[in-house]
Amino acid sequence: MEQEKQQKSEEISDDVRDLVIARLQVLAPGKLISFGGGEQTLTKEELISHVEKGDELGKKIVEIEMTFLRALKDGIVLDQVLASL
Amino acid sequence: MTSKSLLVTRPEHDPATRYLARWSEPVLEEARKKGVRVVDLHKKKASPNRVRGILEKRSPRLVFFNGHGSDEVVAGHDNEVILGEGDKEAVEGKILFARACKSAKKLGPASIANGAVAYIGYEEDFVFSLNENKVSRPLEDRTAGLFLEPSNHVVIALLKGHSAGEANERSRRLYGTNIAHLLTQEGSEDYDAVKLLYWDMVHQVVCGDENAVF
Repeated sequence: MEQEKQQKSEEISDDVRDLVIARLQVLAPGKLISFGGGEQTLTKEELISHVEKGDELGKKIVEIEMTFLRALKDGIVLDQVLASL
Repeated sequence: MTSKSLLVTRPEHDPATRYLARWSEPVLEEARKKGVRVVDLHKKKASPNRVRGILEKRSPRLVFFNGHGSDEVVAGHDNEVILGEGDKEAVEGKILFARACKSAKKLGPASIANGAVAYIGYEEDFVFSLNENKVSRPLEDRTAGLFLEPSNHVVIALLKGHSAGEANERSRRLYGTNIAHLLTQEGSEDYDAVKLLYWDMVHQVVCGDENAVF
């Protein structure tokens, strides 16, 4: 049962990873992203590579993407944006 | 009567710090226009001894750090630590804004415990996107401006007399305005910046007295 649960969670993680990679692939050419704390300025290809490897930076990229998507889904982004206008 | 003073640290040793340093120039200009005494520690001048010396001896009311950071420290040129959790005299009575990663998580509350009045910063990584072909001319990079203009506004609002809480809120509203603009602009090449703007907006916080003014 526990193993089944863990396997399911890993499957979800794979789905999330694939979703994040798909979104990164449409990043406009010539754009770089700076992650100040890691002193890194990364290209699209480097971002995707970190997500594929699942290293610390890759996990951070996933977290940033999913934070936005969840807030968008829950209507939080819209509320915050409307409040700013 | 002593004039109001602002200390700005602007290390510049990699693309990220070059962007932060150059995009701080409009803030320096605004401060000078308002007659504020500005101490600008650019490049190698943003060293631990120099920064701590100014903080302790000249005691500027407002401090604007730019550079790399972590939960516990803010760094200067070549990533040398210029402020840490143990710095007490350096932060006493001051309003601090750190445009650096994560420092509002632990260093912010520690600075308040050490006597700072207010500490504005980011609880998570400060991220921004930029254009590869503008790296040598950061101020012409409108993509980076989507992030750096709202964060500049923290200091600009403080210079205009707004409280720390209002300055943070006004800055966050500018992030929101940029997000709204990108979400409604069909086919924008900066559409992907929306998630990063949202990240910075929600993680920019105030520790300490939100009513503190410069």
